Amino acid sequence: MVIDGLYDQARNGDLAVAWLYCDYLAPQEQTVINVIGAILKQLIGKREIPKEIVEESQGGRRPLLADLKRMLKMVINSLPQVFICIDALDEYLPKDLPILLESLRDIRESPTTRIFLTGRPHVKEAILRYFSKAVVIPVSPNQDDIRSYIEMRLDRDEEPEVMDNNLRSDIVKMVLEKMSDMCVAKFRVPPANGDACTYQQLRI
Amino acid sequence: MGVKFVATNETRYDTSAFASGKFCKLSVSLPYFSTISTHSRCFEPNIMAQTTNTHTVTFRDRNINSGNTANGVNTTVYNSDQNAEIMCWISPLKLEDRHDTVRTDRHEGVGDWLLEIKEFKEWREDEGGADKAVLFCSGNPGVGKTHLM
Repeated sequence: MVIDGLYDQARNGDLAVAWLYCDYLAPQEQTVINVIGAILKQLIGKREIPKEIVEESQGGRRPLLADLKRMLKMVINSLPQVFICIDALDEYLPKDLPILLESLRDIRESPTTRIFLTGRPHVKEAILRYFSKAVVIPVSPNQDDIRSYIEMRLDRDEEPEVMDNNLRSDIVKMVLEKMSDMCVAKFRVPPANGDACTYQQLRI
Repeated sequence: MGVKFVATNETRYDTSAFASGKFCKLSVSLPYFSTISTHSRCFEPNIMAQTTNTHTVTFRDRNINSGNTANGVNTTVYNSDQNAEIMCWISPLKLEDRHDTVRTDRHEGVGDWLLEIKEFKEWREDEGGADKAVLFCSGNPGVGKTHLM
């Protein structure tokens, strides 16, 4: 929504957006080096790869985090507007989170760079340690959003013949009533691997 | 009794969502992604081509559309061997697919409030200067944070 909104509202065409969805099931893939590299790749996008990066890649050595941060700063400085969006920071490997945040702080020297983060409340402290002036927006379940979403799902039901208005309003009412209980009670602790499916299904 | 009924329905809706397209998309991207994850080193372009072809054949057997999707990914991202090699050298991670899944699943209008609030506009429009460069949406699981992305 934010990512697409940024593109829609772009005042000029040269807007670069990078994003990452943290996944607690993928800590081995989402290392800081891989993530910073992936952000760099996204910002380059379809633009021409800077010749400094081309030359460096021909050296044969895998890039270190410091190399990637340097390259990323170079690319950011060449762009008028850069947005980096990271979802679910709480799912990022806790021991690597400070390194990721520190890297983001290091590359955010350019004033044209904006960072959008989401996560559970407990990662706020870590974020504020690196970005002391970060603006925090509390997100709570929006009843209208939930109602509208359930209505949409009911409209798309593959067996409309078993549905009637009473059942429909009962379902909407029950889900709205149970919604907040489910979120808080079931997911107070990070789910174990076996719960992954339920956890994903409930992420509306 | 009522609670039990709702739970049953929820399960059914989620299953139908997977059957109606979302699953097809995942079935292509996940094996592709997991192949990347098993290799910490960068792929040679010819190895990448073989890997992708294998997946294309597998999924075309099951579903013609899935095969087309896999081909689409292949041509878009790896239009040039040299560029692909450099991009892969930078990072083997590919983050774009997940966003496609999230934006497809999002119900229109959900989360639009964020774009309208003062804090977001200041962040977006650069009005706060460097001080307001970082925006953090904080909330418990299930409140819809991911769909703000």
